[in-house]
Amino acid sequence: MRLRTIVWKELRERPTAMFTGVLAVMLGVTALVALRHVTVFSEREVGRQLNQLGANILIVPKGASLQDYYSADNNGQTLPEEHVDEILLATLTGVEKLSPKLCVPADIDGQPITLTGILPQSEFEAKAAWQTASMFKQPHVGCQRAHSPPTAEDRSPAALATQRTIEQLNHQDVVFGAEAAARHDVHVGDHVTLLGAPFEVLAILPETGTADDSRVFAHLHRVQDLSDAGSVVSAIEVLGCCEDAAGDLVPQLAKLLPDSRVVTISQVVETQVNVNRLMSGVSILVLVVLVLVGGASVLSTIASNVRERRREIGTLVALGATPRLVSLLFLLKATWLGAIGGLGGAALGVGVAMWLGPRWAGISVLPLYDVAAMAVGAAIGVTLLAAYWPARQAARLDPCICFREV
Amino acid sequence: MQRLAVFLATVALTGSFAQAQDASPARDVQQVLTSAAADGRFTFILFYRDNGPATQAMLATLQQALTDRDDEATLTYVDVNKRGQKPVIDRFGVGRAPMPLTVAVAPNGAVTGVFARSLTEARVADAFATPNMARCMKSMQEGRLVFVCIGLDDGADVPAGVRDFRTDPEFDGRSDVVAFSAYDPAEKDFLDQLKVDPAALRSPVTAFLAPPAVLVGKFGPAATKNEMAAALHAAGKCCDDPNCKHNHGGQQAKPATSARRNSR
Amino acid sequence: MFRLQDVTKTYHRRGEQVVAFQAASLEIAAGDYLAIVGSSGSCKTTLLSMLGGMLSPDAGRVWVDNRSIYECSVPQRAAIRRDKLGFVFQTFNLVPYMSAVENVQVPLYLAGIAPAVQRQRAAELLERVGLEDRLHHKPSELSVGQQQRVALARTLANSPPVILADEPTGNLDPQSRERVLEFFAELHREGRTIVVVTHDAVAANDACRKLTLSDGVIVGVDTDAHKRTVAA
Ligand SMILES: Nc1ncnc2c1ncn2[C@@H]1O[C@H](COP(=O)(O)OP(=O)(O)OP(=O)(O)O)[C@@H](O)[C@H]1O
Ligand SMILES: [Mg+2]
Repeated sequence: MRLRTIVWKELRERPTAMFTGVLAVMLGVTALVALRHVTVFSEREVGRQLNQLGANILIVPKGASLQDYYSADNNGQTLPEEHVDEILLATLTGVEKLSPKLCVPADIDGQPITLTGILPQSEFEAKAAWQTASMFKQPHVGCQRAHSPPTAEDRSPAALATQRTIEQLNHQDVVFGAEAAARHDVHVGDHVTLLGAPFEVLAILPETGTADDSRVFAHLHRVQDLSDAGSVVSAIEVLGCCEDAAGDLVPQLAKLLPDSRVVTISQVVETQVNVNRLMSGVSILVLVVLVLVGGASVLSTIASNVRERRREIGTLVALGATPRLVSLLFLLKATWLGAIGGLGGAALGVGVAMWLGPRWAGISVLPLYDVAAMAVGAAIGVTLLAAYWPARQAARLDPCICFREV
Repeated sequence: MQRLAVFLATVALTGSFAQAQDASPARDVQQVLTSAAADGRFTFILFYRDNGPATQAMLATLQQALTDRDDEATLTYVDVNKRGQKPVIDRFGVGRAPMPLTVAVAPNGAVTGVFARSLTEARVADAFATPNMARCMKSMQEGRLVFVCIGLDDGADVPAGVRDFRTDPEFDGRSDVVAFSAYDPAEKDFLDQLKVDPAALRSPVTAFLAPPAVLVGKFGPAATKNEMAAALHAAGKCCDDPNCKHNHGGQQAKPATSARRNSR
Repeated sequence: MFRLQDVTKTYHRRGEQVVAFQAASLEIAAGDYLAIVGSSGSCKTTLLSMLGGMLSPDAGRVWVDNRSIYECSVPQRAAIRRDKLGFVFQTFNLVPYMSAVENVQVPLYLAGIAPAVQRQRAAELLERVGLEDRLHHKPSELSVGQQQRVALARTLANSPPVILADEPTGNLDPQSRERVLEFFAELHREGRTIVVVTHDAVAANDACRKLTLSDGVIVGVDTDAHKRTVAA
């Protein structure tokens, strides 16, 4: 027999007595862990987007709402496609690539899907001359660079997933997002009918975790023709060469295209950044609630346990237990409650975050062991703190109670 | 009174425009270009979608600017709505461009100016590139590197470094040489653009240009092939910003020149 | 073994003095078998608690083996209880969620004995009280008499020289009571000091001396000469 055997025997004998205490701690930890996980991964996602898309600028219709960079082009409103050429003609410093897009609803075998028209970079070759023409008249300053050839990576259709542009795309080709391909069970070389026209699957993109996964891509002009949309686009993505250049480009583009909205990725993620800040604040609140509610609950649980076990405590004292040992007994019990509640809550919280993250915040969540460990630590700390007072009471109890009849 | 004048002018222009349209039917743009090239004249192609005020204004500016340059330039029109115009529209990539749009084509086929929506006479004048400027543009528009060798006498010499560079297997066949004298009065504009002052010039100078429109550097007669290749590498970067996506690893090691090597 | 000097203990209830225990002097020799008798509320348990180091007097001193226990520190007092005193309760006070053997292990654990040794010793003690076939029964699965025997085994775990019992036979059937009393007599013969509070005249007669309390005051000490010779 050891101290922990005594504690464990009692906990096992009547687990329900400890239920409320564990439950309160567990729910607090669940909320805390879930919230922290979602916040952390949301922050990472924002960081990743800023990092990867920092040099990108989106041109969208004035009234378009901006929730997510990747789905900003699916807003139901359109811009004239000539804006693409206007940007090219303006030969703005730092513009590296342009990627106009048009999203239209379509279906495959009756199942709805978003068909996105994109313009392959090869379409811009004829327009390269425009830049040369203005070379000597409007000399570039600052960020300026000679053409690099498209790398092998650039030229693979999968570049659409990573670089947001594709080098070659014929009118009869379609490129499937990973999820769309899986859902409709299509493979490279398959034939599909979209908007009543036949297409051949050129490629299936690797998974990106963005809205692109559930889309199908075809040549912009083909999509315009099939959907009778005319020469319009939903959005133009401007791939700047670097973040600084992008920052300078925004006012220039806004001036050039006064009827549209010019935004940088940092503006797109601004809302998310604010939500993250809010979530961080809320996690502190949850921590406070965990301390207060969990703590109070554990305190009352342990206090009532002490009251119930008065005779037993007296007996232990009569058998030679020191008051310190008696306190330790209850503190150990509290530690168990904290550990069980904390571990259960952490597991549940990670589960909740992993389940809700993709559904609510559009981010995939993986377990963060340090967050979970910290939450378990906090839970144990809270229960120990809460149990301190009843444990002291137990040590001070009049042992003569053991002589009294029940 | 003034309004009436404007109105009359508009009517007159519309009339002439309509005539011009008839006079240069769609399929003949290629012929116009060919004959202008033969005559050493520039061709200004006005692409339009409708006969609206913007088109009218652009036409007026063009006609005004070209009044005294009859022997230097030809004006022609393309209605982008016409089916038969597709080859010329595709050649200049203006199918979805903002209209009206004017493309200036040098006698050698180089595009020397693209103007959308509105136009000033000064910009029309700028489109008259000097012959050697037009040669450079043509080369770059074909995705080639250009060595502009500016000599001190008539027989402009090609420096040894440039010759070495051009025969290097890596760059073989992908560069052109444009050589002329610093004292050629016809090239004054071009020299100004390249910031070369003939009066201050002590030795021949070579300007190295890369597509789409980059001045890679200016070199003296003693410059070696390697110096030029290094300058070209540096031009593959866009700036010194360490965060710039072109400043990472392998990217910058790639020669900027191969731009069109793999393109169709 | 025990010595009380000028001990007083007063209970208060809502500021009112309820009862007072007083003893100018009392001595219990080692190897003595003392029965404390008296009417209900006469402070028998109070006296036993003070002897057991469980209740500090308002004034006076209590010596156990020449140590004034209420002048010792709390852990020292706990150690004295653990090593020298064995308590027997009227209601046995077994820990309900532990088996018989585990209950007996508690004082062994408190004495810092290794778990394996604890188990073996506890089993031996239960065998001594005739419960070798009930080692893993919970108190609720034992008869009342068996429970008291488990409690006795627990009392004897650390082989204390003194047994303090508060009405050990009060809740037992005659047969079990007989067994317990026989056991006490045996322990007394082994040389242990036994102090037993009892209402039971038979049980009191088993003792060598009988101390009578009335309203917190010692009113008499009867000595049974025959028994004392046995003890000696
Ligand atoms: N903690 C306490 N607070 C107040 N009064 C108490 C307390 N403990 C005991 N008393 C009172 O002191 C008196 C003596 O109590 P004690 O338990 O010593 O009597 P007892 O002789 O053991 O009686 P019984 O034979 O019924 O067990 C009683 O009147 C009781 O009410
Ligand atoms: Mg009593």
